[in-house]
Amino acid sequence: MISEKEMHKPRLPGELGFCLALLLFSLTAFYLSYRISGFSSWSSAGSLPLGASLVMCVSSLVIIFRELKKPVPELKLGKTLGQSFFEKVFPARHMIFIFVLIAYMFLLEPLGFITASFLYLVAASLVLGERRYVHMIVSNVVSLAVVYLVFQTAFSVVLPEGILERMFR
Amino acid sequence: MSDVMMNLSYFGMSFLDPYLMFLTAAGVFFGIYVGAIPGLSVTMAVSILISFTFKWGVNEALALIAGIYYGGVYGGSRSAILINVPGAPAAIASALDGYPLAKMGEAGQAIGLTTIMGVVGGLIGVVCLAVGAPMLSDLALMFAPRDYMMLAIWGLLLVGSLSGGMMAKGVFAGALGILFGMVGLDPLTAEPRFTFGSVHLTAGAPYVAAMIGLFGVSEVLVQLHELHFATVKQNVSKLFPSWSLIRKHLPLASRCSVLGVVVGALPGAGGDIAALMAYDHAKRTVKNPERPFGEGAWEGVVAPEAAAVGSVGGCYIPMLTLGIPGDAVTAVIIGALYIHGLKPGPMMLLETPHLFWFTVGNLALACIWLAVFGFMGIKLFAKIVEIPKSALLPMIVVLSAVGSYAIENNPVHIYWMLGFGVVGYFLKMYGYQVGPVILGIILGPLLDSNYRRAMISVSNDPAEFVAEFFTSPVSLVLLALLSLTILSQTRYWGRLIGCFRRNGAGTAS
Repeated sequence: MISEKEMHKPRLPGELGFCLALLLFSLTAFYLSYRISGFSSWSSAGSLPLGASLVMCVSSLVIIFRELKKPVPELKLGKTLGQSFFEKVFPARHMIFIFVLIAYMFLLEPLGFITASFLYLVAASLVLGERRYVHMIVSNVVSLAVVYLVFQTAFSVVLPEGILERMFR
Repeated sequence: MSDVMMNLSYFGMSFLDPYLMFLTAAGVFFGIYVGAIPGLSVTMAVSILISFTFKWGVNEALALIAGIYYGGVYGGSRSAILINVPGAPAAIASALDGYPLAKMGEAGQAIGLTTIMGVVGGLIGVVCLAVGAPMLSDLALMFAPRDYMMLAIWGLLLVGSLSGGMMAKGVFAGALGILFGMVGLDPLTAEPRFTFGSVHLTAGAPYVAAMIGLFGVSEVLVQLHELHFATVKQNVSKLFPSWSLIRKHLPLASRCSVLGVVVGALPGAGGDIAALMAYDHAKRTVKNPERPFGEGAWEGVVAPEAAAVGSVGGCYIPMLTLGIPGDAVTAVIIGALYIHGLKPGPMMLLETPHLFWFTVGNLALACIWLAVFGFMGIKLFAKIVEIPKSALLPMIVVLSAVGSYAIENNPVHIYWMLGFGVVGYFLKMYGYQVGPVILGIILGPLLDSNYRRAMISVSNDPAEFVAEFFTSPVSLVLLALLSLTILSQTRYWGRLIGCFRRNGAGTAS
């Protein structure tokens, strides 16, 4: 069921493209499901994947149909659809945040948990607009210390080890 | 008789073991903050905790999770009352009257009243679980594979439709989850499905990393859009509500608790829906509230709170008896039980009754801790809730990353987490829910094996397969429920209801 209000809300920039991508994904999934065991039997290994991807195809078609009925995205004067997508849905802050997260992922093992997490926390706080530097560093150190101790004692989780961790052992 | 004594001893386990008692208390305590801090959710916390509690015993892990669950469902209403920001989806209804109450300087009493009613609701939920689960479990033994199949589909439809938005989007998300659940070797024939020749994928999609990504990272990304919210200082000096206020609202609280249990016990529908339905129920049944609804009616905070906390006990019923999650949190808990080598389902009560009665006792204990912590630390609370998001969000990411890493001490799971997180972010931005995806991942394998068993039992004859839905009474009832759920999502439902109303009015007059 879709409310009247929602029906008349304009689409978000990129929404239609996303729906089309989902449809494409569903069609690919349907093809891959077919490849599992074809239409060999009603109870073959591929039967539920076929069913699920068929439901995905149909529902994404329904969604596209519904989205087309909605008013087109409101664009600010002089902005293209792409610009407005990067403004409303995927702003620069998100991209930098994800980029920092990817860097953290790759540094976690070489640098060890404490060093990598500290660098990440500082970088991410800066991205999010934190400007009280001393406050930020102190609170990050304290919270990391608590997290590290809790992991080591209560959860006995094995964390990636770096120089700092080896010093504590 | 000895059976009863045995069960009673399992029930009392967490009351007598100081360590379990401590874990439950710690769970409730942290759960309240998790629930109250906007941006942290119970599902998020439980998803991340699963990977940390790998090495623990089952009882310890369950005790902590039960505590977090209760604390989190309750905690959301605190921030709803104090700062008009529901800390959890279940608290959206509590903000409607809770915040007006706070503005009138009655925040303390409102919190006190919600605590008492929450505990009442929670205990009613536990009693319903203790009574209802064994009954449902007996009934579940009569269920054929096709009935489980229908229950799984029903759960997916309910979570996709009741929580609002476009039905097609909920259905899509559920089917997507089922597809993820299919990755790996087929359990019946060992054929690889969607493994793309990778050995890692034969064991299945890394669903814990998926949960952390969908509930942790994607939520963080959504929150990046609004980093600031205004906070207001509230008067929280008087906490204990007067006895007459409690007595006056006890009947409503009991009704709403039962409503919460029933909604919670429906596969797929959890505390958030229970709370909204209870609010609606209160609005319709309370004729002369002291203050109108929306302007600080006590009933408006009592009803959703009792229902939300009551729904926890309800959510455990289908989880423990059928292996079907009552909501997103129980879907994650089922994931945790799998990891500990347990298979929730009708046999669980027969084979491991100790685990069931331990859980019942543990939930009761969690309610008692809720009563203790509900009245404590509210001044400190107001400060913690105001943690700036620029500090909170990166910390959630660190916990999520380490949680994913800890699954197998393998950074690959962090990549999965990020992948699911980014996909989940776009899904959320465009109005899809991620709850059905998780439910699909958990229910997919269940749906798969039961559908195929049902199909094989009629030797792959689709006509007979369909016919069997109409010949067994259990299947017929479930089919009717399923059809009603689907029908209620179409435009014909409104007309049908209108028709009934007119007829009803006609006969009454």
